[in-house]
Amino acid sequence: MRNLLFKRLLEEMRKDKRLFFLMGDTGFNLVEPIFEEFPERSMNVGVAEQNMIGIAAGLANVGYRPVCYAISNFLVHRCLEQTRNDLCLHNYPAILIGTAAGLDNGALWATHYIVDDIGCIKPLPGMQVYSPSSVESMHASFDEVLKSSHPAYMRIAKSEYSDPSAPKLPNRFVVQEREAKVLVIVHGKMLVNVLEAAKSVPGKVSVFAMDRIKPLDDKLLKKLLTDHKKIVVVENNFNSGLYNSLCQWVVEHGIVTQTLVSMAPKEDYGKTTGNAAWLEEQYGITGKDIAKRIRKLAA
Amino acid sequence: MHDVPNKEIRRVIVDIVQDSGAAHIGSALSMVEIGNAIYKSIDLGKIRANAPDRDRIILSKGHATAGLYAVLHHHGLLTDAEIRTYFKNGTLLAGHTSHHVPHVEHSTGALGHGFPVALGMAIGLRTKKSSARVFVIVGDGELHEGSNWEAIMLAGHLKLGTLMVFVDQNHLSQFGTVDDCCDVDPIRAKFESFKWRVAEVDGHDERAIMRAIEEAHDVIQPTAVICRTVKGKGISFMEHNNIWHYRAPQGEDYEKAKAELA
Repeated sequence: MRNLLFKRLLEEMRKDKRLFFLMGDTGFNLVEPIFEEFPERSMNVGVAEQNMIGIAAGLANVGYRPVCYAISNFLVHRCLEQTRNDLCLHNYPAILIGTAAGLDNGALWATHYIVDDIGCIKPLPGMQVYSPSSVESMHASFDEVLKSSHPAYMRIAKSEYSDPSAPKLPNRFVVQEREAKVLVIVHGKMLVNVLEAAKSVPGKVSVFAMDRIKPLDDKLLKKLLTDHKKIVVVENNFNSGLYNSLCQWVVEHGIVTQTLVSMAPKEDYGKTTGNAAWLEEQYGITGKDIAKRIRKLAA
Repeated sequence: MHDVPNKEIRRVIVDIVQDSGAAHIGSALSMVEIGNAIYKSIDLGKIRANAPDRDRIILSKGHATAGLYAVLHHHGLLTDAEIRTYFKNGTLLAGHTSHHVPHVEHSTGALGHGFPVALGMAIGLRTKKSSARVFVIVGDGELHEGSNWEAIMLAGHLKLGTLMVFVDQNHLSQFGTVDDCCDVDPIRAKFESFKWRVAEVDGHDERAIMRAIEEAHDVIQPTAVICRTVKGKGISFMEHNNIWHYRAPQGEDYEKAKAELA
């Protein structure tokens, strides 16, 4: 997905001369074509993410549309105050592209995997948050970001999942069963695990990918949460992510759901680590774990 | 009392701080000549017109914003009515610099932000082949923030000659002296080692600051002007006294301050 996004960015930079690419000394064997074709509108600022966001704000002030790229940890946490004050306070439409989303970098340890970015960045006013679950959704999300006049954070997973037949939207049904007992809402790479689970409980579950985490779609949510009484939110982010947003939305809108539960990593960085698959087992968010929860709720 | 420059601007600062009870008057009085010299050196017509190729000015030490607003007022960029709202309920003129105020480029207050943003402006303007310049004012205590040094390092590397920083070196931060807390000197050697041109001036000598701005025209390297300043400059009992980082002059203090600036 990452490679395809950067190919797409290159195409967009050909069309829109306002786009200016910044990165924090990362993206080996990925971003080189941008630097080769647009040496004047691309810059490696070095290992200095606070500076990168400040520079992005300055570029926006003089009329550019900055695109900032780094590993998600350093793009979100390292420079959060710069993102808040220099981008969001000024409503500069910078595009933040973070890779190594969720548990992708699990084996590299908690400094390099990220399960607390969505809860961290989504309270910032104006900030839009996307977590594409498929190649098609990545393009659709990027379309929305490009059209927007607000800052945006895109959380790009290592997943290559593609479903050309699905609607070209960030928010969409991936599986829609008329007699479903349970609705799973998911975003990002976790869609793959949820679809594995759905295969083992045919007919019992519908799956909705909500890859646009902010802003939420009130009309859509009203229908989803009225039509479905048992809902599981699956994400490779602490439950301060989409689950938190949905809980708040339900309370604010007075929608009564029978069940609204989270399947997400425990809010703890732990002591041991491993690759994404291993960590998903530890956190109980594998396809098997999700299927088990669906069966229990559907019973 | 020693000779005090820019008494009119200082009177406005004292009035708006007294009227509102705001803090940071010492910091505002410290940067008056730096701010005024910059605004005297640029094309104000482009600032008024919000022209894309206008020079950009950022007060990174945003707590000194009463000084910036008084300078803007002095140059006709803020009206009497506007500046009287400083630090009052419902105002645009907050206690830290806000970009919602006419002709202010960037909101600041959290220290260490203005420098990277100024760098981004300079990079963008150079990419657009504009000769517009970017001026940023930082405090010496503010240089404790590491983000400044990320920007200083990259600006020197990029040879961004259109970028100028003014270090308001009054040697005082919130809790005491900068030198006791974490000495930032030698600032000159630090900037030079990061590939900057450096000038040192009396930070209350407006002509010297304007000369430094003129001399930095068409240079290859970015320029740092180390401005030796006095916190609370112009009001004897405020000079070098850190209580005026917090206190607004009232009653007798206000009358004495106004008398000294008469």
